[in-house]
Amino acid sequence: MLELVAASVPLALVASVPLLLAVQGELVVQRSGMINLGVEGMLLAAAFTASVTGTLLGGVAGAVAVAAIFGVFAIVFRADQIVTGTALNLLALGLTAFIYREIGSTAASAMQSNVIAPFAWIVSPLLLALLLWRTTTGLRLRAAGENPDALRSAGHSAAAHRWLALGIESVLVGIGGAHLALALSNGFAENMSAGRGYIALAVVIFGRWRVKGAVIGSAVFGIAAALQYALQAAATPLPYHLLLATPYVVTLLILCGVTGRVVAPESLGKS
Amino acid sequence: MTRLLIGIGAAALAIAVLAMAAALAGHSPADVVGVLFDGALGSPLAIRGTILKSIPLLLTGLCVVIAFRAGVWNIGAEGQFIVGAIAAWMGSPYGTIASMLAAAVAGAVWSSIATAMRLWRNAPEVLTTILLNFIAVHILGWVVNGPLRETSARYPQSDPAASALPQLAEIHAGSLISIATAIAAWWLLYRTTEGLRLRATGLNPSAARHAGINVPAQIARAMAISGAIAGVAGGVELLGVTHRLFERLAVGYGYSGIAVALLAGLHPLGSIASALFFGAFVTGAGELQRTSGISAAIATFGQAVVILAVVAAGALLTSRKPADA
Amino acid sequence: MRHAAAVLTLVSLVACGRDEAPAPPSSTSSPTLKVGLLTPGSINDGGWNAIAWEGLQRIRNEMGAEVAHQEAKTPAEFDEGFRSFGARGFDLAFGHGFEFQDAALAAGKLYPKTVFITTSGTSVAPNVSPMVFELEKATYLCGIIAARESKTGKAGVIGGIRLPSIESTFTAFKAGAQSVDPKFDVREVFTGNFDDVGAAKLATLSLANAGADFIFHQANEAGRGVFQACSERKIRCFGSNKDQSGLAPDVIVASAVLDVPRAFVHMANLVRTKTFEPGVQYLGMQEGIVALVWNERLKPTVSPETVAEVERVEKAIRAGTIAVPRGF
Repeated sequence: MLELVAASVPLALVASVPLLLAVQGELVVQRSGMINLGVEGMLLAAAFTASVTGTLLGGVAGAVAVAAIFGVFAIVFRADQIVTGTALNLLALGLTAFIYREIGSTAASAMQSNVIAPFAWIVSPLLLALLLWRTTTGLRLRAAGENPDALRSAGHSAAAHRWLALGIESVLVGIGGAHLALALSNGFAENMSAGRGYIALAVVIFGRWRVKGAVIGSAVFGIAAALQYALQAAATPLPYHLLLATPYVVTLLILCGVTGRVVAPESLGKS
Repeated sequence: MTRLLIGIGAAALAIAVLAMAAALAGHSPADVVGVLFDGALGSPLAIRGTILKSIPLLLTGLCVVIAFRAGVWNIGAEGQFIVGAIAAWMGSPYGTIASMLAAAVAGAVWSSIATAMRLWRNAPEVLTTILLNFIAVHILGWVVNGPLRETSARYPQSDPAASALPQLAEIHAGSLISIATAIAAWWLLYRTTEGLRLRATGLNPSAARHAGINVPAQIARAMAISGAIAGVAGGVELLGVTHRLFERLAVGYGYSGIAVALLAGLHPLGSIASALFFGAFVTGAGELQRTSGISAAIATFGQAVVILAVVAAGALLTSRKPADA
Repeated sequence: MRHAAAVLTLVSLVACGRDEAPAPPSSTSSPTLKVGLLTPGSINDGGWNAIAWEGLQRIRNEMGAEVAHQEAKTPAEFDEGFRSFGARGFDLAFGHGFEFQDAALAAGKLYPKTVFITTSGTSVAPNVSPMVFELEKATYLCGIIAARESKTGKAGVIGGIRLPSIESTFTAFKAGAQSVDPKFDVREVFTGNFDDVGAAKLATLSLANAGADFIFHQANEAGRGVFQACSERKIRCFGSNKDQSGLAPDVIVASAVLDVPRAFVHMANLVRTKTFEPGVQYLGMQEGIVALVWNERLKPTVSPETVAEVERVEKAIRAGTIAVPRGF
């Protein structure tokens, strides 16, 4: 069993990069006071645009497009974030499938993933931690999530900081989507995000809205997923459907927490 | 009145966007709209298709109406639908009514897991219900490959359920069940103190608490009712249409329910019209694919457009506060 | 027996399918052939549904037929799609999967003039029949290649969902491998869907960690992840359903090819020439529907003995002297 875990770790580190980046992006956005359920749609759109263009930047563009709609609804219209996010996931799913059908296939060349994985696991978390807890911009971004009125009375715009957060999320999720389409695959497949965005939302909470927690949470989920494949490959007699469900059950149990109740940013999700 | 106008506007917008997308793909927009209508309402067969698709949509829509009205984010109709169908299959040897009850109980239990996690551990139901959807999908996969697999064990599906809903003019009795549920939901929300408390909880939980409402208990009941309705949706679909359990039984009715509920302005009776609209939309999109080769994924896209249009209109009309400076 | 019927129909296929001229004079009075197809998923899946769509296109292009397709995901849609084809007087309607059987039987009763064909299945009525592809014959050969060329004595197979048609090709793969070495170890992994390319890659890497040095997949579009993983680890693998050598020319040794388009044209010809006979339509190597296709670039890296052995077994399968096991 220990051997299986050890062998699964390196696999998990590469395979869970899209999840990890989505978790970090969503962490920033939630710290700024919004719940972006549309992160699943962002990831799918990014995977699509990345595979059409064959570039990281293309992936970011797809994520930006979805995030922009979310921003207009959540920040400008002050519309309900959960409903908006759900709609954006349907939008991305329907639109990518429709366009993919019309243009035929996307034949992108594979990308070497040896840069993105270290970026996602080391560079990006360090940068985010520095930004959020060591800069005034980060302080204000978090204030937009904890107490936007105080931020406003101090003469700063909560909206601007929320847009900034969405921008950061777009870059991270865009890279994650590109990694999904170009490093884990060699092109697009309908619904290839396969629920990673939803898991990301759960991992943010599991990580108690902290970067360290985000990294650990992604690792736990990633290793659980890799381990269940290793168990299948080791000819475990358990039904494979139940093994497939374990990462979700683990996340659910972790969400219940063994370490006490969850404390969210004060103004999270309130418009 | 405003809600009605918003609803009609959003529906029209969805059709317009679909026609535009089709035009971009090189089809004539007028033809596309014509085919869409024809495919949804142009023949008895089309109307039957529209009604059959509206039935589960109405029920999952009502599930969302009840939850959202109580201010809880039940995104888990999909999973509750699945466990409802499984329970209905297991209850079917004891008759249709027992089977429906089993479906309702299973749906309620499944949604109550999320409630329990919210009340005890503060885990947001918006996430736990989604995670429970994934788990339900895998449980369904397991039962049709394992314990409930058909006796010949040839395909990963169950045997046909032991009972079925009666059919009226080739439309199963789920149509009546769903409309009765809509009326009951309306009665519950607007004609009972339970409904008053439920809506008060949704509008402003802290004011509700001050008014002496036991908010956690209220939320728990709303989630249970909501889950029960989604469970019945699964049961009705099983005993009325599919008769067997199989792996890809749920195809997003739970998520579409959100679109149905929002287009109806979260009104139970409005949901009947809204479900019929989406039923027609999906059926028409099928015809569109058969005649013009346009991907049926366009229907998913149309749902998203409807939700966004309703949300935007609602937000713009109700909140006159300027956007944050 | 069934092969006798199949050979007969093959004659008609060759007679009608190959020349450009439309139907023989006897049937010119009949209007354009109308053929419908229901697929359980997106025709962009690069696998199961994509090849059915190709088949429909070939029926249109080669036979001048009017064709229609719908993605039908629920039994309500199966029913609606079949009835819509029947009501419009279609000559032939395909339901691309075992799950279409109940709907085909129901629609078959309502529209006796339409022939309903399900891809795989067992349900037969006067105008309802399944066509069953014997891809197992090619995957059996893949198993032989894997067992003879493997250095670790282990191979892995990856499936999306455990459908009988998929499970059956795995059974044959295993049987082929164990006909070479009874102790040869074949590990099975399922990812639970056909979309998640990342999961398929992860599953492949897990099999590689478990010691497999040959991989066969049945994951449709998610197979892209399988090839990505094999390229990274430099382990060899097989393409499935189509000749997939082009997707990963450095690691795909051969593909178990299923010429579904040809099978569709074959059935359409039976219907057009009114020679369709109800019954399970088995389509395999003899009919030219199933084949093992080598990747010519990698063929020289395989030992000549293995190539010769595969040729020998293939002949024996065609002659019927080796029976390939089916999983269902």
